[in-house]
Amino acid sequence: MERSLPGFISVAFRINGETTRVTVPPNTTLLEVLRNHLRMTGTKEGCGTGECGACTVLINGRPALACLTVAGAVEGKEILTIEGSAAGGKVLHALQRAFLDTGAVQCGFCTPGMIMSSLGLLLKNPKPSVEEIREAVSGNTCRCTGYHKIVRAVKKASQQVAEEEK
Amino acid sequence: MKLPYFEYVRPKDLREGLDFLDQHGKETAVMAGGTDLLVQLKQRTESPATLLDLQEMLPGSIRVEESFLRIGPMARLVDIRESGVIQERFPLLAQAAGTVGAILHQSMGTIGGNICLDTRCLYYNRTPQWKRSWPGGACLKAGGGTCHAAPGNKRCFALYQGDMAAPLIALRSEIQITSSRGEKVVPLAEFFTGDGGTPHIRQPDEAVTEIRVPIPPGSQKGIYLKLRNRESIDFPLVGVALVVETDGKEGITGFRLVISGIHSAPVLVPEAADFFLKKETSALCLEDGKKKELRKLIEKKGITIDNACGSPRYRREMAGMLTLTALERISGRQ
Repeated sequence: MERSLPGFISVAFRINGETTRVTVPPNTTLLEVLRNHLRMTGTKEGCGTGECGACTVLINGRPALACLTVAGAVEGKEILTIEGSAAGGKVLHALQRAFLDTGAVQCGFCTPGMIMSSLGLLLKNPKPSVEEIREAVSGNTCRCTGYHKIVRAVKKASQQVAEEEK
Repeated sequence: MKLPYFEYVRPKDLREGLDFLDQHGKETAVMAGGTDLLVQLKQRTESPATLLDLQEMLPGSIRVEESFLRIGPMARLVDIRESGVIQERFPLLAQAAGTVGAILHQSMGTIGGNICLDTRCLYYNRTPQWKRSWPGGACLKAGGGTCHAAPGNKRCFALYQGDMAAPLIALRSEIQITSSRGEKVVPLAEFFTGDGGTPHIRQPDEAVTEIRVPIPPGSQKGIYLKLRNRESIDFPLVGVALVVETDGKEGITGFRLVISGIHSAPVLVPEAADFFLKKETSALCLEDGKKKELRKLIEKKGITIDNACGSPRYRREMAGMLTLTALERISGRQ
């Protein structure tokens, strides 16, 4: 991490496969970097205190709360956001397709966080049980769908990924 | 919510970090996973000049060496939960790590950070606006003159609500604390002061550098039960850790009960061992009279006042109830 202007830090990391560098005040969160500096507004701010999971991204493949991550902490890390989950930014990920197909989206505010938490699970455990899915999204709050369709969507996506790999 | 302004430093190794803490420790907040600290910063309960990121300074390794399980303070809770060696030798720790927050917090939070968690209170963990609106101004922990939870008291009653300390104390763990002055190892139970204002003995120039859990000579069983508002998230209103050690000849040779959430430090209940030591394992199934006696003993141990969700009486009674449930589960009756 480089010192740049007084009162600023310069942080380099990879975001959705591309190397980037931002110069921000040290009290900037990763969420603010994504939304305000990189204009990637797919990641949402809900509570801002780590209780709702709307800001979930993957840092080095692990789900993490962008609102509780300071920018300096991601120096040298690999970050994946909802914008990067679709291949080439065009073909929807199996999870995204399954969310659409099963009606697991209503207002859509929690959806990026839900998908990133689910993606973190599928990367580690490609064939999760319903219990494991429920636990994986337990840090993400949804006020519309009642969770059943979300769990169904993740299960469907895991089955689709398994079929596509055959 | 915006973080207050601070300088950010990320020391590359222990020496660099300890040198920094030696010079600037008093105005520095140290960050492990950040899941609790950043919330506190956003709420302005802390406003340090510098935020020191421990991620490269301290290890996160988990290994067995010289009759101890040695855990680096930066081991993520998810690592503790999924570690093969911990699942095999100390399933209690893996189970307890799985109860902290949600997966998101477990994949960010560390064991060192969870142990060093600051104490919490309904009157302290609030925004500055809320605090200003409260009659009487800031509470003791926030630098004011009185405790709002127990008016008239000159002692802070904020609660220690970490999950990992209780099972670690029940397992007789030790903690290594290092500074540029040297290093010391203390039993984890002695790491906590019991004062809500300054809950730990860690000085501003010190860092927790290792957690050591002794490998027991005989058979050991443990369980951690937690009461919380939302099953998916939340700090423990009550956390009960129970470890029972047995020997084929002498029956129960060790019994350690530690309760979190009912005091400003995890509470060890040594008197509970009198009910079980040197008895057959069947003694874990208490008769009704003894159950009542044990519950009363536990209810007297905590200082439950109206400073957390759930009434003091409810939390007191649940500490006893969870202990009885833990006993039943450990004896295989439930």
